[in-house]
Amino acid sequence: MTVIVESTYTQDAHEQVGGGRYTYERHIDNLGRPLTFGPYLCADSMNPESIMQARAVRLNAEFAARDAEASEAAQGRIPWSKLEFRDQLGSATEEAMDYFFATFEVNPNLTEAQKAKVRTGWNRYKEAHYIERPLRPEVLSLLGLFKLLGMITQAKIDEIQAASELA
Amino acid sequence: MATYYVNSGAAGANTGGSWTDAFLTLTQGVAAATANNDVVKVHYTHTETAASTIATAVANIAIIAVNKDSSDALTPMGASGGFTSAASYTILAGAFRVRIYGLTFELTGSAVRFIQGGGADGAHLNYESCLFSCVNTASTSGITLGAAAVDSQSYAEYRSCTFKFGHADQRFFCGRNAIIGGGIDAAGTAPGSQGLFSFARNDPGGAHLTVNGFDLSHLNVTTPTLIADSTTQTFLARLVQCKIPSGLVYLATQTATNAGAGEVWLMDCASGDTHGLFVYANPMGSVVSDTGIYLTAGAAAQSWKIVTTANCSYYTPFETPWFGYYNTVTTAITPYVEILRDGSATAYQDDEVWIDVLAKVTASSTQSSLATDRMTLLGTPANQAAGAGLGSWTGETTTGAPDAWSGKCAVASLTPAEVGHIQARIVVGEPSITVYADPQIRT
Repeated sequence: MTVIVESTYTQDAHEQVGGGRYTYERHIDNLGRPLTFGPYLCADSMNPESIMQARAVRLNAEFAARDAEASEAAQGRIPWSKLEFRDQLGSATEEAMDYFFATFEVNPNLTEAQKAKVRTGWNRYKEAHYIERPLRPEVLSLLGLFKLLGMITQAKIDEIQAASELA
Repeated sequence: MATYYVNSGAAGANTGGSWTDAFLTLTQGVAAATANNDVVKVHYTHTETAASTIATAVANIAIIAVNKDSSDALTPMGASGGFTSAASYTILAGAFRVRIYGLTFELTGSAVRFIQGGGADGAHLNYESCLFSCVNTASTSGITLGAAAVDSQSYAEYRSCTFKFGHADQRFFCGRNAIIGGGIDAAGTAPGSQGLFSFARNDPGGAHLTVNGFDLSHLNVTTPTLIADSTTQTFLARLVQCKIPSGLVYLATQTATNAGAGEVWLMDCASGDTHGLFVYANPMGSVVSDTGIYLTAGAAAQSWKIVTTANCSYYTPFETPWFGYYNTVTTAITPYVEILRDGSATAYQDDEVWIDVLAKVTASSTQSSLATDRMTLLGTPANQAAGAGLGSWTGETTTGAPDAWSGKCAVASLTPAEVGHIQARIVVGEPSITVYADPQIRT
């Protein structure tokens, strides 16, 4: 679920001729994305702190509405965060996965073509903000690779896939 | 050219030929108006439950609210009559050109619903002195000014119309629209907390909104926002001589992080008695009039405060609108613009701030040529030249030793071949910085 986790504002030191100061807000959501507002002219009678907090509340409400729409469209399956996906793997697979991605470039058992696919897949994982449910084919391919490398069992993959399809 | 009559209070033959025999519904009146320039007169107390489509035009006509008891004097319905529903409805279907005067359209209920003011593909609608009352209480309900469907080429204009809303988050959904005069009804809930104008639905790319002489002062008090995130549709919104509320955010953060998302212009709009202010904004940055820091000798005691977002760069910079200078000589000139950096004495460099100049340097041609003082691609940045000096500016930071920098952006000498306008714009290639510029081309 997307929420604002940090809100800051800056304000000009100088006033405008009709009163008020240009004010600039910056809100950061839980995925690290900035949302900026302004510059807007904040009248002397207005409290920029209150305005910023109220805007954060409204942004959270809009995010919740969008998430609800997306959830409805996905039949109740809200995407997993990457952390939630890693929880599904279990600690043993998680550690093995981390070791694999840290060393695959020098792994003598992989061909250059295989390394290229792993490299791109790993970069796409890093770029993704969340893991869609049900799981995309490329995620299932990744789990299939882990199975070939002995990092995960088919039973565990089936369990994760089933969990991804639950509302 | 025929005239048809509509009055829900009539008790005659329902043939539309007179007030006595007036049609009981607008759909009947519009259906009867089959020739161009036919007129459908609607008595101002006419009331009707709005069907999903109130009426379908079959010719280029006019629908006009009058007072049948006062020699058919033009009389807007206001609260005396109108079309009401708790379900979404389209006002007029049909790809025709129609003027609609003085009608009232109301949306009630609490579920998400819309009044569809825009027309079908090919429609051109001129609303005048109409009341659009979206007193529905759902947060995402609203008034659709634009097209009735995607991929529609339609136009709707709202002249001297009043708009009323029922929730702080409600908004207009726009396409190719113009609003002239009128305003937001202060008797309703102040809308626009997330953006009064949205371009996110209905129209394809190319939404274009012009707003002249409109009263937007009744917007959400806490977080009034002019343009919502347009998500997937590009737009151009231009407001001229409108009344706006204090604290108005001109452009909400846009999903698209490039200049193609859209742009908003405000010319001579303010909440109070300050005139001649200018605003331009797109996802790459913004320009606002600053009356607190400006070149003392500059016109109108204001500068352009340019603030870039994180989306711009040297390679894809923020570009201000062009501004002009009427040149009367055909001898060599060196066009330049004074700039200021406040809060730091470090000069801006030519990969951070520069100007583009368009001038007619080729004789017997209207085509201008581009000159710039931008750092050459793959070049080495150099400081911009010193400007008129800090003593020539008003309002800059003077604490510290010093705490501002006066510079100028200047192109190399050029020789206009023709008398006429020279254009320039300030270009900022550094993200998240502020530059004050005197928007006057000097030579």
